[in-house]
Amino acid sequence: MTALFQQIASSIGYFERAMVWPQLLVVAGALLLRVGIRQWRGAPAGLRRWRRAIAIGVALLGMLALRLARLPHGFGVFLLALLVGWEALRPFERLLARVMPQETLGPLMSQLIRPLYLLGAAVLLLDQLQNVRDLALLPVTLLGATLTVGQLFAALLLVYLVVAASGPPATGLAWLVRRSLGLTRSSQRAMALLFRYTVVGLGLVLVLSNLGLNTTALVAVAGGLSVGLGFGIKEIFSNFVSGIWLLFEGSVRPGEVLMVDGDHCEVRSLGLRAAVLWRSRDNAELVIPNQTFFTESTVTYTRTDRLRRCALAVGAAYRHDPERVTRLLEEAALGVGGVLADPPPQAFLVRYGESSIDYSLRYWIDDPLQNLSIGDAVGKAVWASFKAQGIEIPFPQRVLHQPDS
Amino acid sequence: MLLTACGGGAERDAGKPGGVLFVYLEMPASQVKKPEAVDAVIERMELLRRPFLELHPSVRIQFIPFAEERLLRQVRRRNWDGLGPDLLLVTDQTARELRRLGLTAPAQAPGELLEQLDPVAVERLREDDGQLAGLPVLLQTEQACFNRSLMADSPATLEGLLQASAAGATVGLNLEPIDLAWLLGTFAADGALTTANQGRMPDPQQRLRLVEALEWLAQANLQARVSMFTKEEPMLDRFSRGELAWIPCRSDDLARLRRSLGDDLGVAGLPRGPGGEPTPVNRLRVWAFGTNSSARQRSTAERWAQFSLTPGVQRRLTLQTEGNLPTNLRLPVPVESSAILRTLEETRQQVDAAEVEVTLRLLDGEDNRQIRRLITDAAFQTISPQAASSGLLEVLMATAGGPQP
Repeated sequence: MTALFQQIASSIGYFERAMVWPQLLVVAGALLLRVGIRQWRGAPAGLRRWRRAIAIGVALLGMLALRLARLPHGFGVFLLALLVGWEALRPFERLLARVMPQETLGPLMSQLIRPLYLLGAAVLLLDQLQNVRDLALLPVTLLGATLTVGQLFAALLLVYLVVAASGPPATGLAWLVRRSLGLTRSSQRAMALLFRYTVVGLGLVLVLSNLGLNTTALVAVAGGLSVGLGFGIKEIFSNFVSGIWLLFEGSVRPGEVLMVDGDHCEVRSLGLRAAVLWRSRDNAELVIPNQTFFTESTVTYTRTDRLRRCALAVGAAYRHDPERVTRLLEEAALGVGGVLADPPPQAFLVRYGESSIDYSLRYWIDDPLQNLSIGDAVGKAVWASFKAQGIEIPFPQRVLHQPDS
Repeated sequence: MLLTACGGGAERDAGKPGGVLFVYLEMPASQVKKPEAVDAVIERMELLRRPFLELHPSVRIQFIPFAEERLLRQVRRRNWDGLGPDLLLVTDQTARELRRLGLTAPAQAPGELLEQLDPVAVERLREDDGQLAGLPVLLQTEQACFNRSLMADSPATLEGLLQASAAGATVGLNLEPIDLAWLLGTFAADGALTTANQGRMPDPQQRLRLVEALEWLAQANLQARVSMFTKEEPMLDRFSRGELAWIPCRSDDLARLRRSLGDDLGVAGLPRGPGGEPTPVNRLRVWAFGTNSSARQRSTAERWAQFSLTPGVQRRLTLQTEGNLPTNLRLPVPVESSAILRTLEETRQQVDAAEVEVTLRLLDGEDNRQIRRLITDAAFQTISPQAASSGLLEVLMATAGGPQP
């Protein structure tokens, strides 16, 4: 490894050559120009908008000048091409945004495409200064095995690709399985996660077997990890195993709706350590260790179906016929969007209260997270219906008698 | 100002060795992918680098190996970048090609030093305008390598070689034209090539000798224990593993072979034939100078190149590698101290005495592909020796500018 760094560091020798500096100055000048236009508060909008194109144009003119002066300029052209490629990622992202949702595109760009571009650019730059094929042959000792830098780089790249890029194919495969077997959406998400874990696991095994690492050394590392599990990383491991178990069990899968501290929350993702839940009440995201769901009871509305039964308590004056009141309540609920017709809404006389007959209107909705908004709509519909039909909603009244004396 | 600050310092110190030297090493494509082969070359170069760095500790010398077929392209691209080499260790043929394309600068050395160098080698690098395409640093010869555990002694004649093969010794022959050139002399077929190279059709007697050489090759291929190879590397691999008893080999491969076979490795002259002595082609390793160097880099490169040509360094290199002959003839080759060096020196004298060497080197020229196909076809009897002979002569006459009366 030292030899690798020494070879890379020796590239500084190129800066001794006067012909390298004009190329670097042209590219650096173009970059400074772009930054300058952006920072200039009074810059015309057109200038600001075209600052990238202007900077690239200026750099190209600089390269042309070097060419006309018969000076070497290939390195400058190369650096410029890398910059243009980086800038081209923006329109490329906009293009992808037309066919891809933002929540997919964001991670794709930030976790895969941009890092891969930077990595490719770094390798190409290194190849300009050195010979990458030769550097790849330098030996590295790892866990008792002698590898080449190229093998190690390929292994790390494969691990990164497997971890970062296995998401979309796993999702696609899960979608196919859901279409074929008629599974639910949350099952599809769970399956995608399981596929991903499988691909990552197989990828790691493939990498380790290809590297030909010393198995005794690996066993020793595993032994060390076991001790570590007993102390420091017990919780992490426990959360990981809980996550896998929950996925198989299916009680906490992405898309499920759970009650957490009296609030409805939707499971957004189930990670290696923790689950991320979205709380609709205040748009907060809760990060809850997987172990919590494993050791504590959980209320879910989506285990076998997504139906939720809701109830509205209301009172009507004693003079109104209960048959008429219950019918009005059921009709009012049916007229609200989101209330299911089957099972139908049902109203019950539950009690003769002090100032009213108390009823309970029970209705079903198929989206537990809409409970509050549909409940609000049902309440308003009942009020409007009672008002239209002259049904009084009484409230307790107190008559004060003052003694004559 | 920045240019002055960065490049000017180096110009000021131009007389004093220092900085980083980028040295390209030309290697066969099959070897450049093998870490052990690259190590063997770098190890040999260390014998030149280390003593120089002891004298000039502020110098850093960076070796960058390239496959021979990629070298010209890489030098052209990197020169265009301003990141070209300061020094190249290449064959004499590549050195001349680099100069022809304007990719290297003429070599310079004090007249006193040039007078000490092998005049044949220097003349080989002399251009039409009298300038030198490079400075010859090492001479690598072709001879026979045999495995002492499988064969007591190397056969002195072609007939003896086939008899040894019939008796159980496995023989390998490389069909690369330049590596097979030695066979032409054993049938006195080299005259046919010399005549063809002058644009004239050889007389029937000369043509017959060439046919005989090709017939011998075809007959040898019919032997059960003679293996023909179209590349040198697989033949060397099998010889290293003890699967072949006898092969023609180049002196720069001796270090690798000795590492594998130890004392079992025997080195001897190539066998004679009915037409006379063999005509192997020696290879020169040459320092060529880059065009992108700063004044200090150029000065350091020249100093190191000249340092490597001094009698003491050359002698040490010869003794320690036992695979390279010195180009500085001031001190005689220490043949008394090594049987291998004696064999190499005999081969050198044999080649220097052969007038046809210049012609035989054409086999390594631009028409190599066509010539290689004809020789391979003749060896495997896809075409008759007569047809292959006619084809070879046509190619050579075409290269010389067409048949002349």
